[in-house]
Amino acid sequence: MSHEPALAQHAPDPPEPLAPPSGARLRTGAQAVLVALSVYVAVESLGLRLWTSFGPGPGFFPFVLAIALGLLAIAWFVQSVRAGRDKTAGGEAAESEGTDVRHAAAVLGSLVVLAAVMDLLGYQISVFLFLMYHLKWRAGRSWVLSLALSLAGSAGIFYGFAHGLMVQLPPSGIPFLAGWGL
Amino acid sequence: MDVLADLLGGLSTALSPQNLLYAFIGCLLGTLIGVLPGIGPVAGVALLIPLTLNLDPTSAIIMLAAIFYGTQYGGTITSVLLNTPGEAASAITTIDGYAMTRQGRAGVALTIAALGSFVGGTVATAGLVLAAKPLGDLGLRIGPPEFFALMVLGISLLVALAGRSMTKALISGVLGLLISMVGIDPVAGAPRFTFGSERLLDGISFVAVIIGLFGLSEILATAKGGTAHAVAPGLRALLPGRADLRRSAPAIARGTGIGFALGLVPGMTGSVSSLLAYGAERKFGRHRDELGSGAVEGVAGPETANNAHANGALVPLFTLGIPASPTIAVLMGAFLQQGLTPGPTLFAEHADVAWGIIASLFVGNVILLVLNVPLVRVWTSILRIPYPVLTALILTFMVVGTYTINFSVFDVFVMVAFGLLGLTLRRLDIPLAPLVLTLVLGPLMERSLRESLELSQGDLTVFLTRPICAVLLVVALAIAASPLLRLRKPAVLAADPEA
Repeated sequence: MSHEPALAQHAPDPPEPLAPPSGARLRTGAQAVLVALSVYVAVESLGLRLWTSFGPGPGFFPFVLAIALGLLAIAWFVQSVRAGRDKTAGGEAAESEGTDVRHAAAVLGSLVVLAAVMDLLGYQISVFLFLMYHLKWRAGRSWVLSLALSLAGSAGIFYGFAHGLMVQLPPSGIPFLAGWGL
Repeated sequence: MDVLADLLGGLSTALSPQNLLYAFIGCLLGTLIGVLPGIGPVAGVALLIPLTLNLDPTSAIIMLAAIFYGTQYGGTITSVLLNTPGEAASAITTIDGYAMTRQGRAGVALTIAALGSFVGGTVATAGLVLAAKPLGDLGLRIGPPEFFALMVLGISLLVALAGRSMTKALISGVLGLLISMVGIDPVAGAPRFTFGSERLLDGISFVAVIIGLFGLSEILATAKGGTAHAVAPGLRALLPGRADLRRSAPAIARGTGIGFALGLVPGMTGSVSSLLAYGAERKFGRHRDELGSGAVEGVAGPETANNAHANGALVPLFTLGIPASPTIAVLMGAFLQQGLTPGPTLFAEHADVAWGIIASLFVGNVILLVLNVPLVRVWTSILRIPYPVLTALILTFMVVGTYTINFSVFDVFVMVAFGLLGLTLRRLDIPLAPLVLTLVLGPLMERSLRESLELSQGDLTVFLTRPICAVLLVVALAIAASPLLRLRKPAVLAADPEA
C-alpha cells in the first residue's frame, strides 16, 4: 500500500481481473443470478402497477431498479469477457482469495441448526450445545473452559437479558423443559 | 446565542446520571468492538442496537453514538500493540505505532492517540454545533424533489468512491435499494416481493442484514487459529514527555482539519482521512524523515483525523438526513427504529433529543480519554483470548442481537443468508458500503421520488426546473460519469480498505 497520496489514472472501469477457474465460474454464476433477479423483479413490478392516477405506483421504482440491475449485470459480463481477451489485465488484484470452505460450512451449518431448534429446545439448551460444538469439538478447548463459557453464553446471557435488560430470550417449546426454567 | 442556549440545554440532558452511564457503557463497548478482531464498527453498532430497544430515544442514540466513536479508538490499540488494525481506519497507525511499541513507547503512542482523538472529536463536534442550525434551516426549505436529488448525490459519491469498479459499486447500491423494497409499499400500502410470507410484510430486518453482511461474512472469510501476543505497557510508560506533546500538536491540528473536512463528504471513509493525514505529515511534518521508524506524528495525525472524521460525518446526518458512511447509515437505522427521522425536521420536532445527543458527543470524548488510557491493560488481556473462542462468543452475540430485534428465529435465518451473500460479494470484490447506504435510504428515496412526481402530476421535468434540485442532480451525474470522462482519482481512494 502506498502511503503517499499519489494520483493514479482512473479508467472508465479497471479491466476485470483474471480470476482462477473457480473464481470465473463464481463470477459468471453471479452475473446470471443478477440477470435472473432483474427479470423476476421487473415482471413482479409490472404486476404491482407502474402508474396510477395519483402518479407512480408501487411497481414504478422497483421496475426502474430491475432494469438498472439487468443492464449493470450485462455491463459487468462484457467487462469480464473483454478482460478475458485482454491478457494484459494483470496488475489489479484478483477477486479475494479462496475461503476455508470447511470453516465456513461449520459456522453456517451450526447457525442453521441453532436457528432451527431454538424455538423447540429454547435459547439456553440450543446455545449451550452450539457453544460446546465450537469450543470443545472445533477449537479443542478443555472441558472445564468449554463448559464454563457455554454456561455463561447460554444461561448467563438468558438470565442477564431477562433481569438486566428486561428482554426475554426464547424458553423451550417443550413443557417439561420449560417447567425447569430452560 | 440560540445555539449556546440549545447546547446548554443538551448538556443538562447529556449530563444526567442515566445518560452519563449509557455514554460510559457505549464508550466501553465501542472500544471493545474496536479491539476485537473480526467485528468492525458497522456490524458492531448493529449488533448492539437490541441493547437499546427498551431505552428512551435520547439515551438509546447517546449509547449507540458512544459505541460508534468508541470503535474508532479501540482499533488503535491493536494497531499499536499488535501491528494489526482492529478496524480499517487505523491501518496506517500500525507503521509508526508498532515501531513505537518495539522501542518500548507503546504507552506514549496510545496516550497521544487518545489525546488526538479527543481533540479531533471535540473540534469536529463544535463544527457540528455551528453547522446544525444554518444547515438545518436550509434543509427545512427544500421539498421532496431536492431531497431526492440530495440522496442521489450522496449515493453517487459513495458509489464513485467505493471499490475499484464503479459497475460493481452500482450493483451493490441497486441490490441495497431492491432489498429495501421488500415489504409493504410505504405510499400505497401494497405488499411487494414478500413471496406470500407474513414475516416479510414489515420488510427484511435491517439489523439482521447488517450483522450478516458485515459481521458473519467476516467470520466466514477468516479462519484464524492461535492467540495474539500483546504486551500491556506499564502505567508509568503511558505518559508522553514534553517533546512528544510539542511534536504532536501540529500533527493533531492538521489531522483535525483533514478529518473534519472529509467527514462532511458522503462516501469518504475514515481510512481516507487517516491516510491523507499521514500523507500531510510526510509532506509538512518537521520530523518527516523519522516517519516509518516510530515518529509520534505518524500516530497523532492519522488517529486525530480518524476521530474528527467520525464526528464530522454526523453533520450531514443531523442536518440533512444523509448518512455519510456505512456506520452512520446503521446509526440512522437506529434513529428510525426509535421513531426519529434524522435531518432538518429533527431539530424542529425533537430539538431536546437532537441537542442532547450532540452535547453527549462532547461528554463522550472526555469519557473516552479518561477511560481508555488506564484500561489499556484490560484491552490487551482481551487480545490474549484465542481467536476460535472469541469467534464462538461473537457468533452467540450475533444470534442474540439478531433475534431480539423482532423476537423471531426467522431473522436468524435472514442473518445467515446475508452472511453467505456477504461472503460471496467479498469474493467477487463487490463493495458492501453502497448496499448498506441504499438499504437505509431506499424507502426515503422512493417516498420523495413518488411525492415529487405526484406534486408535478407525473411531470419528470420537476427535477430540472427547480434550481437546487437541478444543480444537485447535475453534480451527481458528473460524479457518476467521472470514469467515462477519465477524471483522475487519487490512489489513496482507490486503495481505501473500507471501500
